[in-house]
Amino acid sequence: MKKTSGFDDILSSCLDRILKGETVEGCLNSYPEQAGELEPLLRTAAAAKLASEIQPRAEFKARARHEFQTALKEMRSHKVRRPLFSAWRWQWHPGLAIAVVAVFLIVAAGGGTVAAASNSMPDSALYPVKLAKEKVQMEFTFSAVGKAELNARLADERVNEIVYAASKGDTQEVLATAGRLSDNLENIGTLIVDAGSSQPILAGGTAGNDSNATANNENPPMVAANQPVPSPTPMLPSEASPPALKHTFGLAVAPALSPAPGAANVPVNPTFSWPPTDNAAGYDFQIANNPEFDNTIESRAGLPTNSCVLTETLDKNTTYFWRYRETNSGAAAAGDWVQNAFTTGTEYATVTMIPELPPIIVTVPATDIPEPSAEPGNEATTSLDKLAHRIVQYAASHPARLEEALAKAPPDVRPALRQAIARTSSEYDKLIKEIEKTNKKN
Amino acid sequence: MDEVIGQRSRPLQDEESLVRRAQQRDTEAFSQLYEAYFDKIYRYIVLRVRNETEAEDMTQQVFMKMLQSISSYKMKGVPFSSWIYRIAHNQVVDFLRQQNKKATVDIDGIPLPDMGDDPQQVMEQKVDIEQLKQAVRTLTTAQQEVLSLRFTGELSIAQCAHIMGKNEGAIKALQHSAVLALRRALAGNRA
Repeated sequence: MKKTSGFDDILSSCLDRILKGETVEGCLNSYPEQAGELEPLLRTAAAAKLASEIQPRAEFKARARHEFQTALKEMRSHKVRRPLFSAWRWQWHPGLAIAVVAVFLIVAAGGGTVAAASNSMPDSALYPVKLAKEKVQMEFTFSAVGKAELNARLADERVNEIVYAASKGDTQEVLATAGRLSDNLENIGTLIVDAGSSQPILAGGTAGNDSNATANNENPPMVAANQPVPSPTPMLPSEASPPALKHTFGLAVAPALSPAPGAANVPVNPTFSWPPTDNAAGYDFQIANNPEFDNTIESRAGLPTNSCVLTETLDKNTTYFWRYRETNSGAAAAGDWVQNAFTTGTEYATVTMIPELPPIIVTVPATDIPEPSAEPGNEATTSLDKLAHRIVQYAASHPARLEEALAKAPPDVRPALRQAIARTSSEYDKLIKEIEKTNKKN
Repeated sequence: MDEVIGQRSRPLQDEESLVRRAQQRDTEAFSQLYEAYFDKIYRYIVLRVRNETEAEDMTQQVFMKMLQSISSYKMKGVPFSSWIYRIAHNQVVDFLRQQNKKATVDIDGIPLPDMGDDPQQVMEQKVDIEQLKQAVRTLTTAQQEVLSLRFTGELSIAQCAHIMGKNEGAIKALQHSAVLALRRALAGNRA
């Protein structure tokens, strides 16, 4: 062993000298006793020096340099310039925006500017107002579960924004928004630890699925789903957990958005659908050919279900923006608009069928999960259930949506988008692990 | 011996000051760092990733990441080169992990070039870059990595150890096995 280690040192030293330009013979002369063993290795190393002659393609190098310089310029301009708002060249500085939003929220329960900002995208002048509104919402949300829920909703919004920025080829905004998304997910992780310290996170909100429990008795994955598994490492229970006793919860997935965000080649007479919201009295729906919804093509208020069929046929090869929001009974304000975009195809097509997704199955050791309780006072657990289910759902859908956007994104923006996907997947991995850990602790 | 090896990489002149300026969003400093490392990082990645387009994308990602997170780099005994190679290392690891989820081509099926009769001649004269790339890709992931860092990044054993999260002794042993395996890959399969 010692001899090998000594030889490794000599080889290392010789390789170093060869990389500096010395000849193989020069090195062999320094170690005559090891020359026989060294020579073939050093000649291989001399050949491997060719690796330092590998050159990137000239076109790639030029394009990459240009993109890097553009990103640098944008970074610099973002440092000194903020989006302008109104003819007076008003600047929405974050502090000012937060103060204004707070006043609007308190006094007017959402002024026009604040409401309009809710749907703004990162390249909009109102975007700082939107971010400020979110900060204020966060300040006025007091429980850990509530804050985590809000962060989860904001994470969803951030994904919409990344998809939008990617479609516009805006690398800088993709990176910046991915950073915000990452912050949201990190916040959720911290809040889960706080919220779940006294109770299990995933207490099973829906009926158990015994057949799955039987089928998944051996090494069940934490997330075994129809969706792409977001985690690079399988979420297996620890080896210490009892292998034979498992309890599996079936979690029905809310219908996916249809058309999918950023979808291309969509039929000209699509059926729109979106995830239902608990306790919503109905839904408002709008579609337009611009993200500002200046001239809506169709606007429907008070739809009884979470779907809509247009009365008009859309144009071919056109990008459309659509949005929906929940409405509430009585004087309660409507929810925030949720906005998406898609592009129609060249062919006339009939009704789009919404694919029926199999449920996401979340499997955790039965010993770690108390039986679901319908007793009053269990609201906190129920909220945590909802949060955990939402996270599991997003852990599958968010990376998948970003992957979809990647397939359609201009080449320039792809590196940033890939980075966003990797970061998002990794953050969700951590979250799922955190949920699992909290369950085990409890 | 380590002291000699420790001097291997050739840092930019006053790299520390450049990095400090870049941390203050000095675009000129960023550009100089970019130019100094771009080719090296590309070489490191392309030796480890089969697909050239992917290697190009990943190289760009490394520099976008540098732009985004240079403020998190702390000059406490870790050279900037180790930091940026660490970013590249993470990109490659993530990529390979994703690739492993999908079905991958069996690397044993990659044909190696005909090397002629004299292995030494082969080593010194006939190996071209493509052949070298192919041979490197038949090695284990760790062997590929150590060769990439040493021969394309020209990093020291100590830097390789930091990037790969191993001790220096382990890196030297790995390097030995990597050169041996490369030799076999280049010439041995003719036997």
